[in-house]
This record gives sequence, structure tokens and C-alpha cells, in this order.
Amino acid sequence: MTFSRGARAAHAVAIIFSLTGLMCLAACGGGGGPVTLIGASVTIQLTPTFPGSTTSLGPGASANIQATVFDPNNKGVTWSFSPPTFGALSDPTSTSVTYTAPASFPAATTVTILATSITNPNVIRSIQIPTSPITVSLAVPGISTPLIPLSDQTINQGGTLDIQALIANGGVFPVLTWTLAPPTGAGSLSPSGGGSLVNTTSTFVTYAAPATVSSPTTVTVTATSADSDVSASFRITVFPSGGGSNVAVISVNGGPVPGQVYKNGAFINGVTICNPGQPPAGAFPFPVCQTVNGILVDTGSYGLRILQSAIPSLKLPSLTNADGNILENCYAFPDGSYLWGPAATADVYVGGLNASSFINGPSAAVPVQVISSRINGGVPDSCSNGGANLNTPEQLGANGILGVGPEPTDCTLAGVNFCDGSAQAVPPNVYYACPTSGCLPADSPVLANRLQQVTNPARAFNANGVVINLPAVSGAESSVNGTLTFGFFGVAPGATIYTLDANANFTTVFNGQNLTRSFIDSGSNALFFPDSVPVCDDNTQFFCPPALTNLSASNQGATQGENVIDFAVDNADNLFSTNPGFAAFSTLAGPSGTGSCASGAGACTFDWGLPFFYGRTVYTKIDTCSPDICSPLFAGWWAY
Amino acid sequence: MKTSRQGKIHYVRVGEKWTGVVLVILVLSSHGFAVLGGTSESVQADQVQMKARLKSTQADSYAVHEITVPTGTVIREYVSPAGQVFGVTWQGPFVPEMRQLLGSYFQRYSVAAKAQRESRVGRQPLNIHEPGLVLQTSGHMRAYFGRAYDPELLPAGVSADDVQ
Repeated sequence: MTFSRGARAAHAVAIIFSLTGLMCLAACGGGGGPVTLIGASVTIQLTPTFPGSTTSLGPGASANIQATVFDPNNKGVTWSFSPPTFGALSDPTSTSVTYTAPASFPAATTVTILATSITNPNVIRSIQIPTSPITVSLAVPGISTPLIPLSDQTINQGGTLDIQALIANGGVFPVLTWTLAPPTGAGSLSPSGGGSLVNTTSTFVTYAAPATVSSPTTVTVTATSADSDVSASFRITVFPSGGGSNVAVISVNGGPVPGQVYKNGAFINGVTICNPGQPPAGAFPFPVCQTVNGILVDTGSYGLRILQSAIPSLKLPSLTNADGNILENCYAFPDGSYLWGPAATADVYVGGLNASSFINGPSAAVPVQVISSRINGGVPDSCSNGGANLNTPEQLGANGILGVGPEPTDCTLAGVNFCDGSAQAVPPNVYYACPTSGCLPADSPVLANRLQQVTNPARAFNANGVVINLPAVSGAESSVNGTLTFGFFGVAPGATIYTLDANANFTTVFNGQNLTRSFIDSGSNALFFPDSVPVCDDNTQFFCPPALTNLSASNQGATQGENVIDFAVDNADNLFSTNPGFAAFSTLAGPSGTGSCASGAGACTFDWGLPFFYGRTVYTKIDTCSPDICSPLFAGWWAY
Repeated sequence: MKTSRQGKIHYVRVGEKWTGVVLVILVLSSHGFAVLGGTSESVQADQVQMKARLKSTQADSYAVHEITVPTGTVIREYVSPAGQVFGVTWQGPFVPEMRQLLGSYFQRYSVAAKAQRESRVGRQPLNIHEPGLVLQTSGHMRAYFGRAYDPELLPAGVSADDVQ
């Protein structure tokens, strides 16, 4: 005899019923007197009552649980709970109990309350009680919501910033303490209703910046719940000028990787990245977010690329193509290295700006690239192309790349979209579609529509471009701070617009060479150009002239803008050995190509890397061309 | 195979005299092109496949094939009088497939590029100078440039500066 799985189960049930019948014959007795009923005749129904209108318990809060018991013997239930050391039960009766959450706990925990029939201990009913820890969150009213961790902010000297704290699960009048670090010399905090900052019920305070600062000064504001050590904090950087809600601090500080000094890299800190959309039903409405430091600001690329290792709590949803396959993205660096990983949507917050589906609906989330240290499947050969995969912080020297150059997505150039099929039918090596098992080396690229392409975050913030402002550096400095401003209205008096050609380049004339493929790139470590200056023995990517060498070049926009740049080149080996640990070098330069580019016919390039930005205000305007309508000022341009 | 193509005479200066060189511009729908170090047979095979015409007017000069791959990147192949590809350049919105472009030089490129990347942090152009292989790249997203040549294959009278 053979059973199918269903038939076998039915057979087993039949055997259990037979055994129950036999047991009843032995134990149930008969005749007169009370009849003790066993089994299905007992039912229990549990109903919780939470304080107020909450649906979960905060620290020390209690819920009452009522048991409605159908039991012919009228004996009710006994109570237990799990996890057994998380909180306590009190006032148990045969039909009710009170559960009290622990006075303090670090993470949301679901407690199971068990009611066991006294008449028949085999009848157990359970109910789950969610508990939520005290959470403290901060916001700047008018520009952010306390439901999202507050990004770093900037203001100007003499300015003020209103700050609001939201304490969840802290009771009706939660008590908190506000602190400022450093406590003196960097402005002051005052509760909006007056009184103390310590053990106060004031959830609104005002930060007043110093009347004057000689250089950018950063303070940290922290609000700590008095009932626990839970706190929230954010940084405010006070600038002599140029701060604001659309302004973020950038730091040439050696980068985020311990033990590594990234030279001439400008990093943005305090970028808040969240899983997009609304949180799961039933959860307190905090999206899952992480604040990331050490993202390289790069005007030589377009789009936010983030290492998964920098957002371990997030699982950003990958974009998929029409077949349901994961849309993978490839970023090829000019030096042959690459970044590989899925295009995914994220909510992104910088300063007072957001690209947030949580606030503005699903279409407001921004496509980003997520790079994992563990490759799923393989990388297509046409992406890896013989180069190195920079999928760790150590190799990238950063936790991500903020590509804020003059194009809206990573597949556009002067109004032409190369990846959506509008300009060409053959997909370039940028997007791939692969099953969840990953890609294979032989896989070919696919087309990707505009809305799925990794997008310039400035564009996602509805800004027309960015302005980068870094202080002058005299030779070498350990670190410098500047600003990244999203969006601008015109350029300052004295700044000149340099229009770009169809390749987003302009021309630099240097030493008799017409370098027609020149560009400004905050992501390059130095100025790179063809010259006969000797290269270094140790740091062979840089020049090592015998002494500081003064040079000059002329930048010429495609249709407008011309200006002479004086710059100096120093001996990189000496610079590095005499300034160990320093991050900012204004006289760092290196070779790009060799020999003469006098004819200008070839790929002759002056790469104006980060040293160009020192002591300048550099505007990057994003290309707004369409394939049909494009003029030099519609296209991307630089101004400085 | 697209049939769109054009050819024009392009003059380059070699030594002290002007030498005529034929620049053949091809628009391809396939990725087929000759590789660095490839022989005249591979060039001729490409020519046949591309239905392209190649004129060479001077035995002591070199020919340049200019090929636009379907994704828009322009590849130039520098061919010696003996029919050997001694240099390649590329410029355009996408990096060409290096294995196909560099042929037997690909592995050396890959090893050297990775070694340079692992020895330093930061971003800069790539400069590979080895006996038998010089390779340089630069550019930015959607505008890549590069050139590669074998110094040992440069024809007499041709300078590395000509490969650009």
C-alpha cells in the first residue's frame, strides 16, 4: 500500500482520533456526578489592552491581557511569557494578567504571552505583544522630519537653527538633556521656552552660531533621553559665509579608511540613506536609515555609488527589467578599474535636501549603484575589461562616490541617452540584466530606461548643479574643509562660464599643446597633463621636478569662456615624505600621456583635478539638453 | 552590417617630409577590428568583413583605420607598411573591449593595470610603460581616451607621438 503525502497525513489523523477514543474510554468514566470534559471542548480567546492608543509597549509600560475562556469546569488559565527575562507578569488571575516591559532595553522585541488551560494543559493560546525602545530623533522644523535621522547641517556665522526632538515611547512628558560639543566657543543652545537644558521637557531648542568664525567650525548637538541612555545627534558646521540648508561640508581629510591617507580627495560626511518607501505595516513609522561618512565628491562622474559595507542595515531594493531580472550597473574608471553592482532605489538626504519617496512618493526615490564585496555570480567581461574591482573601502579609498558632474545620469552626454535605445540600438557596457543567481562573464549588456539609470544626486534634489568651494592650500595641509552647494542662481560676479563640447570637455592650451579633451574633475587626485617634467621614482603617477616649477595654461570653453590659469608643480616624493599624513596638496601633478599633443588631433587631455579647486569657487551645471534641443548653455558647463 | 562609411585622405608629418596616409573611417555594426600586434592578414580580414577600402600611397608611411563601434567609441588602428598594427587609440563614451583591442597584449595590460591600482589609492590616469607595451588612458565618465602601442613595432621614421 502506498500513500500520497496527503493520504498519509489523513491516515495519521485517523490514528490519533482512535487513540483519543481509547483514552476517553479509560478515563472519562460514566454514570452520575460531574463530567470532566477534555480536549476540544476548552477554548481560550486573548484580548490585549495597550495604554492610550499605542499598539506597542515602551520601556516600563504595561498591557493588560484578558482571557475569555470557554471551559465547562470554569477553571480558567495560568500565564507565562517568552522571552522569560524580558519584562514581568503581575496580578495574574484565572482570566487576566498584566505584562510590563523592562525599564530599559536597546531594541524592539516581540514578547509572547501564553495562556494555558487549567482544565486541559494541552490547550494553550498565545498572543504577541510588541515592545519598542525609547527612540530619540531630531529635526530642523521646516526642512526635515524627525522620522528620518537628521543629516549634517551648515549655517553662517551669527545665524540660528531651530531644532526639534521627538521622543517615542518615552511617556507623556519625556525628559531629556541637550548638549553641545564643544560646550563653549562654538555657539550656544537655548530651550525655546527658556529654562534648563538638563532634564528638561523642552523638545524645541535654538542653536545660535558664534557671531564670527575665522574658519569652518563644527559642533555636535545631542539630545539624550533622561529615562535611558538613548540619544540622537547631528553636526552643524558654521561657515563665515556660504552655509545653508542646501549646503554640505566637504573635507579633504584623507578619507574614511583607517590607516589610509587618501590624498586630494574631497569627502562628504553625514549623508543619510534609507530604504525607500513606507516602513512595514505595524512598525513605528521610522524608515530604516543609515548615515554614511566618507563619500568621495566627484565631478567626473554622475550618480551615487555606495558600498554595501557602508549601509549594513539597509537592503536597498534592486531595480529589475521587464523580465524580472536584476539590473546590474557597471562604472568603468578611466584607469581600467571598475565598480559592479545592482542599480537600486534609495531615499537620500543631504543637509536640508532630500530625494525621498517616504516624503514625496515613490517616484522621488533615486536610483543608485550598490557595490558588494561579495560578487553574486560573475562580472561580465565587458565590464571588468581586465581591470581591478574596487568593491571594498580599502580599494576604493571611500565608502562611496557622489557623482555630481555635468550630466543627469550615468548614461547621458549632451542630451544623448546612450542606454535607453533612443540614440542607438546596441546597449553599451553599463547595464546588465541577470537572474538572482548573478551574471556570467559572457553576459552582454542590456538597455535601461532613463528612470532606472543611476542618477546624479544633484538632479535628484532638483538642483541645476553644484558649487564646490575649497579654501586655498599653500603647498600642503593636513586637511581642509569646504562646501558642496546644491543648486545656484547664476554665477558670482567675476566667475566665467566655460561651455562644453559634445563630450563634456573643453580645450586647455598648455605649452604649445592644444589639449582638446580637457575637463575639471574633483575626483582626480592631482592635475594631470602631458609634459616633460620628470616623473617620480617612488610615486610614479606624479611629477617630481627638481624644484617648485611655475606653469601656466589657458582654458577655452567650446563656445565661450577663456582664462589663463597659473599653477605650480612640486616634487611629489618630497611633498609626501616631508608631510606624512597630510591630505591636501596644491602642487601635486602628474603625467597624462607622453610626448607632444601639438596637433590636438588625438586624445590630449588636461585633467584639472582637485588642486584646481583649492582657492576657487567652481560651478558645475547639469546638462539639460534633449536630443532635439541643445544649445551650449542648455548643455552642461563649468564656471569659476 | 551597416554600409555607411567614408574615406578621406589624411596627412601626417613623418620626419621632414609630408607623407600621404589614408584614413579610412568605418562605421561598424559588429565589434570586429584588428588588434594591437595583429598582422596584415587580420587587417585584410577586417577589411573584407567591413567591405572597406584601404589605400596606401607611401611605402614608408603608415595607414590609419578609423572605426566607430556601434556604441559610439572611435577606434584608430595604426598599420605599418608591412601590414602590422603597431598602435591603437580610442576615444568615446565607452571603454572598448580591451581583450579584443589588445589581443596578445591584453594579459599584460590587465596585470599592470591591476598592479598599479593595488599599489595606490586615488584616481589618476593610467600609464603603463613596459618594454614592448606603452598604454595610457584618461578621461571621465562617458568620455574615455586611451592609446596603446608597441615601441618595438613602430615603423622606421614613425614616432610614438603619431599614435594619438
